[in-house]
Formats: sequence, C-alpha cells, structure tokens
Amino acid sequence: MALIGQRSMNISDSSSIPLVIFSLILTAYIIGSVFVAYHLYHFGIGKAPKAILIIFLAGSGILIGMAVWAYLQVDWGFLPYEDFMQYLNVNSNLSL
Amino acid sequence: MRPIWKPYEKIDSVIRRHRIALLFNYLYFGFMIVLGFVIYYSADYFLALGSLGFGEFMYFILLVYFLVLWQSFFRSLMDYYLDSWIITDHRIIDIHQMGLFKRDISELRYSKIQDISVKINGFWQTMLNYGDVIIQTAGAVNEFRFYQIPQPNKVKDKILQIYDQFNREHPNDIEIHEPPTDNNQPLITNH
Repeated sequence: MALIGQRSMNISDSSSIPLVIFSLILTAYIIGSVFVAYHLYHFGIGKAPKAILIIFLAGSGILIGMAVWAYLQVDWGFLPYEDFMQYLNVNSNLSL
Repeated sequence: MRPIWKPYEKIDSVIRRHRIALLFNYLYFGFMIVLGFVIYYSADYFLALGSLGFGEFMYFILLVYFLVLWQSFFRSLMDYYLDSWIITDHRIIDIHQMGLFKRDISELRYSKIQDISVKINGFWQTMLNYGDVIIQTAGAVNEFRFYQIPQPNKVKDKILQIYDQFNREHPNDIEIHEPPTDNNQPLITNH
C-alpha cells in the first residue's frame, strides 16, 4: 500500500502511467454509470427499471472493487518505463 | 423530459417490446464474456503468461474488459426499459429513448384515432405471439406504431375498449375533469 501511495504522489514519474490510465478508465466508467443510473431512476416507469438499476450499481461496485484489487496485485515493473521515457525524450528533442 | 400526468388520468398499462428483443443482447454479451475468458485462458495456456509473471496483469485486463461490457450491457437494457408505450384512460404515450441524450415522447388522444391494425409477421412472431400494433391517426403524425409488443391483439382490444369508453365519457372531445369553480360548475377544457 505504501508503494502505491508513493506512486500516486508522483504523477510526473513514468511508473505512475498505469495509475493515470486506470484512473482515467475508472473516471469514464463512473461518469457513464451516473448517466445510466440517472436515466433509469428518473425516466424509468414502473419497478423494473429500478430493479435493473440496483443490479447495475451492485455489479459495478463489485467489478470496480475487483479491478482495483487486481490493479494492486500487478507488479507494474515489467513495463519498459525507461525505454518509453527515452522514446519520449528523443521525440521531444526532435520536435525542438 | 417525462410525461406530465394529469390528476384525473389513470394509467391502464405500460407496454414494452417483447423480451425476445433482448435475446440478441443476451447472446451478444454472453458471447463477449465467453470470448474474454477464452482469450484469457488461451493466453495463459499457450503463451504461459502466468509463469512469466503476466498472470495478474492479464487478470486485471480481463476485469477492465468486463467493466466495459457490464456498462454496455446495462446501456442496452436501459434502451429497452425506457422505450415504452403507456396506455392511460385519456391518451396513449410513446416514449422512445435513443442512446443517452436523445428521447422522443409523442402522445395520441383517443379522439384522434381513426383505425387500429395488428401486424404479426413471420414464424417467430406467430409462435411467440408478438408483433406490431399500428394506429392510424388524424393528427400531424399519421401513424402511431407499437413495435414488437407481446400479445398485440389483446392490446388492440384494450385500446378499442378504452377508446369507446373515452368517446362515451367525452362527447365532442370535451374534458370535464377539473375541480368545480365557485359557481359549482365544472371547468370545461376543449382540446
């Protein structure tokens, strides 16, 4: 957990790239879920849309929890961060 | 935007497409789930990614894939559940949801109905008893269609029954449902 905390604190560090990407995916998912939930709750007529909404939210919670847990289990060190950063540096030098 | 109910209006039924319309959704998402597992276990079995230390990473990718599938599936369910036809004792309301930000609502008063027909087309519609109910109208939209609804003949009979009742209770399409005025006379709204 301490390692994760360290990663998230330093956004400019290349090793935080997976965290940034995963955060973006989760944010997009949550925004999409809010829209779906709003439509089902606000426009749904009868009990069925509300029941569907509860299943959707419960499933989303479980899946997000599992995805976060899976993220924490991954040793992200296998990603070629140095090569990637070197690639970025080379390209930025070229553009200058 | 949702229909505004009149205080004297009673909802008779809320109709949605036949559940068979969801079958293709279930099949598609079932296939996509199986595909996810097949790719995950194939990668593990043939490429031995687990023994190379990529097992957790593959599992994480699989879960993110399931997250996307889960939301897509419920978006399609949302489209199904928000597309509905509401039959009240005063009008028929057609609500059509297209994606997240497009929603059409049209309504038809019984006085505008000219003709009702049922269209059951093909083997599956005959066997599963679903089809379209088409209402010809005198309004700006000359056709009002209930798509792939279950028991279309029963729905048609119900609409005709309410239509007769509405015409009996509202001669010349005059609405007399508002609370009485000071003179104890009903407020008459002519549509």
